[in-house]
Amino acid sequence: MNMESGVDMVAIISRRHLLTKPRLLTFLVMIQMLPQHPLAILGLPWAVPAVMLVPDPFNDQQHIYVFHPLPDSLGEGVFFEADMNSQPVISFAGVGKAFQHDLTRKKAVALHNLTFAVSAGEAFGIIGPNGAGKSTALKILMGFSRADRGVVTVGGQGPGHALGHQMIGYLPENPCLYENLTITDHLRFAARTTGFSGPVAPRIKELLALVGLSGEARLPIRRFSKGMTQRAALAYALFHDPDLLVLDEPMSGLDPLGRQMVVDIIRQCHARGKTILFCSHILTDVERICDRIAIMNRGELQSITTPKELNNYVIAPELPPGTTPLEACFLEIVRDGKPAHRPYPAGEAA
Amino acid sequence: MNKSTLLTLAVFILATTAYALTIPGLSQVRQERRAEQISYFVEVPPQLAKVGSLEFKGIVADYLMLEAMTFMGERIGQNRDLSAEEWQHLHRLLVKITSIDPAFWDPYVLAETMLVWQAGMMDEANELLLNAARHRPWDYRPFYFLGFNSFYFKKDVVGGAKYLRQAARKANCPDYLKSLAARLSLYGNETALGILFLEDLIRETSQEESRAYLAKRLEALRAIHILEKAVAEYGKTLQKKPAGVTDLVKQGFLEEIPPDPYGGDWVIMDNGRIYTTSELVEKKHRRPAQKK
Amino acid sequence: MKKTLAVAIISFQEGLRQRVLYGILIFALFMMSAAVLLSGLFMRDIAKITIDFCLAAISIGGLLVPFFLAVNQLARDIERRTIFTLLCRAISRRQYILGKFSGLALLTVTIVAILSLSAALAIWTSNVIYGDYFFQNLNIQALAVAVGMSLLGVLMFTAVVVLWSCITTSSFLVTLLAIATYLIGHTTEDLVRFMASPPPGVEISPMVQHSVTAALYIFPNLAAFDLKLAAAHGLMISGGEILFLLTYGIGYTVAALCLAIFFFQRRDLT
Repeated sequence: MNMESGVDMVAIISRRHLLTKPRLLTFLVMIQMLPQHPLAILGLPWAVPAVMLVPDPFNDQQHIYVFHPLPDSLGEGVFFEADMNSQPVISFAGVGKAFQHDLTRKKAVALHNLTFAVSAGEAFGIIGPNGAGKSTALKILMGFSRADRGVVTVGGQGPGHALGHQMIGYLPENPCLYENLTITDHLRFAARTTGFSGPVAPRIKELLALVGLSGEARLPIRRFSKGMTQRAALAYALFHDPDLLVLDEPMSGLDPLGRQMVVDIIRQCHARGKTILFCSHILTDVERICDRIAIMNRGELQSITTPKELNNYVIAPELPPGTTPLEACFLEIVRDGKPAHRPYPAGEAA
Repeated sequence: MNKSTLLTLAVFILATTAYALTIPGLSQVRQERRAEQISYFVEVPPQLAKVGSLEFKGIVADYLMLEAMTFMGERIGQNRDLSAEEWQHLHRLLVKITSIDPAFWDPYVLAETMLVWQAGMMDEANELLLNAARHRPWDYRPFYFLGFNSFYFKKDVVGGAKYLRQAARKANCPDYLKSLAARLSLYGNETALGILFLEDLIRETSQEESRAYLAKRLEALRAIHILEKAVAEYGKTLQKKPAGVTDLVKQGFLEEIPPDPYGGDWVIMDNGRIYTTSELVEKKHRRPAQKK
Repeated sequence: MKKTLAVAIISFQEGLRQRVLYGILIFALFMMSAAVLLSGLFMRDIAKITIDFCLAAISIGGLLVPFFLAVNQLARDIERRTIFTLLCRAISRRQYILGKFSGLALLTVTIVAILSLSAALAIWTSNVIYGDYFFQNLNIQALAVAVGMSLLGVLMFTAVVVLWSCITTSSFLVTLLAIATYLIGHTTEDLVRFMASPPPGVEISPMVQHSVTAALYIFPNLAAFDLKLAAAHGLMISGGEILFLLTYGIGYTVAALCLAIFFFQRRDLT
């Protein structure tokens, strides 16, 4: 894979590995302990997931080690690369999640060993068919849902932490705003809860203009069309000018005009140095926005690629003409479970 | 108007007419069925009714009371006598109401005015009134009613006086009642007490029909009182008993015979008391005397 | 605290915008006229009938909150995922639960206040129409205590419904549990009293006795907060009873909310 300088590596190690491989038993584990974890406060360091950065003595790379107390829960090895010029804002390490049916106790795996990191200022897109686990991953990131295994950090903290949320603007899938309230009511609530300092009314006006809802400021949400609700929810997510935008299907339900508007807004945010993590199944939009694209299928991360790499992608001849490289890559992964073609021309590999 | 709207309108009119036409018939059918039974609640055990009323004991009691009153009102309106079974039903309903809301005064009054006067179920009524006395410790009326029953119906002066003394001890006991014992000996008979009692009842009755009902009885008692006084005077002056009420007018003790509002005929009894063939009860086949 | 208040305000707004108050106002008007007109059908206890209707209406109005609004604001909030709109702001789950409960409490107080005002109007009208004679036993203080305790009972019940919403996954189930809780809450005390002195010939097994006693400790004793009958007859409860009720009601409410927070913090929202 693309191994430029300053690439970082993440290893997931379990407690048993730590015990059997004493060379890794470094004090750094303690130092980098997640400070807000309740068990850490109780003084039980061995029970706490931890992230540590270990400089490699032989080159100028750094390794990220994620320590997890559950024995045998995780694999081992290098999972992803990230730009080490900056700290990862989001890290998923070996995250697994299964849903259990209430009555039959039958388990359905939603996420399996999901590992990736998003660095500051990056626009990271996750694509995948319905049911690939994209939304589940984002919900775990937001702390709505809990991972069965693995470690998730946002801004160096565990998910669902209130301080972490201060920096996140989240747009849920099929945004459900309160039907009987107006968008202004929602934005006022946002002002009260995010510690927004400064005049609220001009900010509301500015945001409504941004999403093109200035005329609907006093209308209850139930009168909104799906596209309008989507845009209103985006304004709600953007209210406190967060450093990190987590967007779940931001373009769904929008007409081409609305889609262009949302893409422009996301691009503006990206240009201002915001980190963006979003998932979608509208591939062209993902291509237009993202620095890196992760492809998920059946709860597993299949590939991480960049638009630059995709330019060199060899499209299978049986696909209809006009298929974009991303579409081709996506289709192959979804159809076959893994890409039939390596996403690099043969000459450049390894 | 297009075809579809017309069709909808037609169906609507048809359906509305159909249901509207059934309303009188349905009421009639339900009325007949209701006449057989006073209330479905009668069959529910009192304790269960109480628990089942949850936090709405007040209005459940009110509703059942309204039902009892409607039942009585219908019978009075139709000039129908209640069968012994119906009286039992009424009594059970009153027991139910008072077990749901034991301090509710209206059912006790209904027990006193109907069960005692009309059905002669004095023991049942007394039991209810004792319950009232327990749950309305501030009120003089339960003991007053009990006292009245003892005097008027049982002719038990000692027992009656005991109840009246208890009534007189209550804070809300009116002054005229406190001296009633003395007045009783003055008048020397139960008719006067009955008049006082009815006057008291009418004073605190708001409902027009009930007032009319009680007023009619009061009028009858007043007539009896007048007649009895005249009989006593007759006996004192002429040293003999009048053969009939007409003697009283003939001998100039009365200007005219007061009519029995229930339409009965006055009879002078051996002990000088007046009896009426109507027994102060509306008879089914007798035209009620017009009272207004 | 500020965030809890923000959640409370938005829940209150949402409740208001559901036109709840319009419904309550119409209901109040209906109740008033019914109380005044129906009490005229009775012979003597006219004040009692009027007050019965007014207090029952206040209770029903208050009960709208736990039965409908609480289910709507919590269980359906989770079901329809509107909850994400709140939780994606920097709001902890504890703040969410406390804020929602405060919003519901605020709605309850508003509804009870409106109904109490109209009840006062109804009683006054009835007094003017039927005269002072029938209103000798009117005890404003007892009425105020009855309304206050009814309010506390409703809040306690609301806290239990909040707890159910945090445990179960469907709003329908929450409604069923709420109804069950309401029925149990109003009957256990009577059952305990019945078992303390059973009628002769009735044998009560220790198992039944223990489970009923357990129910008395687990479920809210809503019957204790029903002082409507006493108030209608103008009877005031003792200061000791008021103190007991306040301690019990507040204690139970806080305990139920703590439990709700405990479960909700551990819940997966999908």
